[in-house]
Amino acid sequence: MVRMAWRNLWRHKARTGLMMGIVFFGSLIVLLMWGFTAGVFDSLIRTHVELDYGAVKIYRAGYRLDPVPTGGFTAQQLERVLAAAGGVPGATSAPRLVAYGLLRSAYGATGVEIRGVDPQREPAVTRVAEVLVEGRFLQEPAEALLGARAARALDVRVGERIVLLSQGPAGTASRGFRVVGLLATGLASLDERTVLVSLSDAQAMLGVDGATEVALALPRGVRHDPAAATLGAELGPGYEVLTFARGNPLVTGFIQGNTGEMVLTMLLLAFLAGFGVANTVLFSVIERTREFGVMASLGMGARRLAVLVITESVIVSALGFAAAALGGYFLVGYFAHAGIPLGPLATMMAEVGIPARIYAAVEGWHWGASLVVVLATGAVAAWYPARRATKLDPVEAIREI
Amino acid sequence: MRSNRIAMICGLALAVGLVWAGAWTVPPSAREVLEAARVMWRGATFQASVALEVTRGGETTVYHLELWAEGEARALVRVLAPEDDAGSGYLLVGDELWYYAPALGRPIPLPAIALQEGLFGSGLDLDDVLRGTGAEDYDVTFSPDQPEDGYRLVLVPHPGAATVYGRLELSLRSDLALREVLYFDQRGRVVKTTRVSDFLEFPGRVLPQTITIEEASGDRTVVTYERLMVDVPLDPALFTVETLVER
Repeated sequence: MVRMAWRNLWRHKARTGLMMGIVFFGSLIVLLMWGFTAGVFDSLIRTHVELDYGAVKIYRAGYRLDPVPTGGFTAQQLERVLAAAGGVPGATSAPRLVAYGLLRSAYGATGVEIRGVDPQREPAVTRVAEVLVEGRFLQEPAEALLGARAARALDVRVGERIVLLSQGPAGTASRGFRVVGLLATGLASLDERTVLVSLSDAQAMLGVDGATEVALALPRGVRHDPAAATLGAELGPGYEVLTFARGNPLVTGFIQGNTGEMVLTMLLLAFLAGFGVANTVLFSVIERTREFGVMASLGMGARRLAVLVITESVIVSALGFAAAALGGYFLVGYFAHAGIPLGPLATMMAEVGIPARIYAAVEGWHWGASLVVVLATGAVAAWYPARRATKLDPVEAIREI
Repeated sequence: MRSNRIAMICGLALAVGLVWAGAWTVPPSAREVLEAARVMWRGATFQASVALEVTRGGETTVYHLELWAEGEARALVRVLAPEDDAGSGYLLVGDELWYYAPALGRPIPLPAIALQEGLFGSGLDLDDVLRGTGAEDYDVTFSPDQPEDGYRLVLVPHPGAATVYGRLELSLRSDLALREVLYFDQRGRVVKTTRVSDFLEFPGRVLPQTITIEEASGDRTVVTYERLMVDVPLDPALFTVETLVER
């Protein structure tokens, strides 16, 4: 049957080519869109995990409802959390003390997150020390790292002093810091609204001796959810262990929403391509009425005729998809390497942590799902023409033309 | 805008007190001059009517305020004009800051940081220099070009000092009344100037009457004391939330 369908297809090269073309373009668009979408998600998660969040974060229970420094870990709790984090195979961890306050330069001020980090441990968890566009990472006391964009907005240069103000347990705390480096992470939250200082400076300024969170990095390939679950079970109640996805419902929601949209777009494109295919197959069936009549009179059953028509359509769809996959493979490969600049969209995207250049990515299930949809569309689109073929009266059909 | 006003209003308590009532028998050091200028206003009480002319981005608003203050820690401010803000007020007690507006119907506490926030870039942030915690953060020296009729001090902040300025230059009259403060950024440019143009002479005291603060951005604040009474006995009950609402 497949051989017969195959032979039939090549007897009408133009028609087959046309059908393949429809499937090819539809599939190619879908595959490229998937490549771009997967690239966006990949970049989004990677940027957050590698530059900001870490793979997993541990908080004191209740801290996130009222994020004030005094609601964080005490020194003893911090020690316990760090010890537990050290027990996760291959993991590295770093404590942070976060407070909200104001950054003041001689030319202006802005609200910032003041993040006290351990200058030794932090670079083992995030790549924040590697994305400096100027200067160096924290080393000495009273030093600060500032996002390059915040520095530009407030006209601060490396080597100059800034003042950080925050609400400590004993009223307003203010301290002078020397800016030793500028960061450019591509994350608006970090580049515009975060100042990094050493953990000990932050502790002294805010009058606490613990930290508000511990961030964990996990080796490549280690799944985050089970690691977080194990850690959560070990620490017990009183602690909150959250993966990036759990800790950022907004980003997770963004990804889910976009994936849903993509699936809808794919189905819509499949629907449109399906009409194209159905139309071509229907005309081929009408055109081949005599041929079907002969086949029927030679003893080919109605069902087999229908299967033949559907098989032809599925083969064409598969071929079209194969061609699109080949083209998509090279195109996605090219964009995965060269990246796609977001241009004017970049500023908006940076708000959610999407870098200005997206590298296309391939996610297995996207391609698998697309193939299934394309083949199903081919089969469904051929269903009506196939039914028409089954209803032919052999004698009448032979008489045609 | 509002936070700038808070700062200015609270800063008034500091600015008004620059007085000098003594004399040195030996030539003082630069720090002694600064300390003397600071010490004089400590603990002073005063009641004043103030006109505050605020120019931001080319737009000017004039506020009329009634002000009661006791040293640097307690102040009550009532806004009389413009009409939109009339009846509102601020209360500062130590680090606690309250705001009240008739439309709100109740006083709301503001974080103490709001005080600092308002100081940014504008307004009366003399507290950088004159508040107890600030002065220790600076090296104080006499400027090489000393005027004949007063003092010129150069204040250079220590490396970790909580100030964004690279240097301050204070010009004082021989009676230690403040004439001018120049605020330099860390690149040696003047970013702000505070000038006292009129003085009110009291027995043993000299107080500023008009203070003009000009910023590099072109923004300007002019504070004029229309009526000023010093060392008036103030009822301690004045600096309470109840008074803030009722007055």
